[in-house]
Amino acid sequence: MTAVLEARGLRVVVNGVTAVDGVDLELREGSRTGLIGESGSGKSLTALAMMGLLPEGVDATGSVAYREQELLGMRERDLCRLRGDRLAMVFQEPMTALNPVMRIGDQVAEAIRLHRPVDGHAARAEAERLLTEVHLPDPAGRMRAYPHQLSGGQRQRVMIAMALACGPDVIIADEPTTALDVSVQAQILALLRELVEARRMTLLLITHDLPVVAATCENVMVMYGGRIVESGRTADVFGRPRHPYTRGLVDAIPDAATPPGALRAIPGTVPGLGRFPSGCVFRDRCWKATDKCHEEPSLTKEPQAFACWHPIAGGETAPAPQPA
Amino acid sequence: MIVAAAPEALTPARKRPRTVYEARGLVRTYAGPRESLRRPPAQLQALRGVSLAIAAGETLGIVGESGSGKSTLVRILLALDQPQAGVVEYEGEQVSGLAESRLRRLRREVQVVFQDPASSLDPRMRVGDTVAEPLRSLRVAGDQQARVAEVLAAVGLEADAARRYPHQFSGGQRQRIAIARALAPGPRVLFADEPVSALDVSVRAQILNLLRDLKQRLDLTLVLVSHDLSVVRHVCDQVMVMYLGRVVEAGPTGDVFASPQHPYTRLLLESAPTLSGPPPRPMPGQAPSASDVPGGCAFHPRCPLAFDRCLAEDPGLLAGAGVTSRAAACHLAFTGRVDRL
Repeated sequence: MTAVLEARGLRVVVNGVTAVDGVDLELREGSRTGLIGESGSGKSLTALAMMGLLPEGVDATGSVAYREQELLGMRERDLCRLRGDRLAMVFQEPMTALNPVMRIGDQVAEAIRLHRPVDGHAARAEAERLLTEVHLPDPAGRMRAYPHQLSGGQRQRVMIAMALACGPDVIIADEPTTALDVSVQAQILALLRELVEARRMTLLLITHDLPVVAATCENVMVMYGGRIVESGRTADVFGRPRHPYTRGLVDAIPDAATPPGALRAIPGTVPGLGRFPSGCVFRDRCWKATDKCHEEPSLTKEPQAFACWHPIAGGETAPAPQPA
Repeated sequence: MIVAAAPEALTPARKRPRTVYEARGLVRTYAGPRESLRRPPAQLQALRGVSLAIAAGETLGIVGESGSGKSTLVRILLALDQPQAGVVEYEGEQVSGLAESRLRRLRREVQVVFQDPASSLDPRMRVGDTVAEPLRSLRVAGDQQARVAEVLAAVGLEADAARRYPHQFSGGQRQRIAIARALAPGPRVLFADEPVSALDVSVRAQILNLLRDLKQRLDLTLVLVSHDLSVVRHVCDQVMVMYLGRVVEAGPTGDVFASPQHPYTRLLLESAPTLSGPPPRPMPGQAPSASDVPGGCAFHPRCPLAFDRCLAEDPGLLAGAGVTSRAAACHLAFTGRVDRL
């Protein structure tokens, strides 16, 4: 299997602060990969850098390649053609991503005409077909609706239809279900899976929500402080985490198997951009940290890779929680 | 927590703990946004007859999606909004329909923590002043500074936090400040409306542990509103599930999660993704609208078990035969049919 989209040593600097620090990431053809991270982890900047969508004044170095074509430093015109055409993105809040004063059908048709030489009539027919494909109820009628007349889940379906407009082969979804209700979330995740399979696309799903990744992706990468701290197959990474941060995240989530009682919380708080410690970025919150951790660990080469000097073996967990 | 028109019918009298809160037949309708100059605005039915009783010392979880009415219910229980019909009693005294001047006891004994501490804390007020504010406005006697230090310590903040401003704290610490402010007047009931939804995953567990711990130490009655079923399952001993302005199911959390008796509860549980469990099962149908509530059972258009009776007849909240602590608003509840859904 070949990598469709690949980042090597990706580094993103915001106002002199390194927010993404040497990320290697490889999306294989047809795979579904989750990128997990909390605020300040650099997950969204990584996604934007991979789409060439970083805002003015934010610099990316290293390499991002789409089918061996380098994207960093590419002319905006060429990048524009690639985006939408081959790479598409779905954002968290469809209400802010959609134009509030433009009818749904026109917005989807516009996305089609931007990339394909078709007339308005053909574009509208295609738009209706796409709205049907994303299971928007009454697609013909909804073509004339405005975004505010749709529910949150329906708006997200429209966003997905626009992302599909030009038949991309990579879709990057940044927290696509965070603003949605639980029951709608399951519908949108099922839709993403269905489309990725039917259209043989490659999915990068960015979220802070571990169960969402568990339900959608076969591979996962865990980011903290601008670095990937663990990656591998989802079942392995969540089932037998090697990095203490991943272990902490998994244990902090109550699920059916968690006995009632105090949860094992990760101590401290996410330091925020530019305030992560040197060496291992997690060492100030880690129960296993030693002096060795002042040195930066690199990501191992194993299938389940981790960046830790004291990886977890077996079913080890963090020590029992202290009363607050 | 027990629900239904006659709560005493649901729990054996000898074991019944003291009821702190009781609400009967709450109805609240809002005018929706105006879509046209010619037509009147749609009426949003936020609550369509909600009754409940909250026992002293319990932790009640209120679960519901957008449009379920859970936020409206909380506002009415806190006397921040008034129902158009129905009554709310706190400690046996009616609090709905009263003037603000007659709510002093409620204001002091019932406090609330909101979802986003970034917007519920005044950015220009020092944390100490923020935490002391309810003491001043409620004219609580005693040494205010000592009380502020006491509650800041109780939520795990350093004493010097009082001199700092909210922006100097992380999201989790700001939520601790909001909790400290709620605790300052010494409440007996604490409402927490989505208290961890705005927080990073790794600090959510800290705040949930803190709430649990405070509840036990201070002997609080805790009402937790959340869309996150795993949070409710973990923290609450009683749960109430709402759908389109109604309570559709209520009972002890363990029982309800183990064998939900309303199809909505069951489908909601199955639609939530889990770390290691089966993949989520998408809920059938479209999210409902509070301005267009279906007749009969409001869930019937989405319900795989719906039959003709569900279209015609709205099932009230029924107690299970022999399962006195539980209730579900479904014609098929406690028949075994929902378990096989």
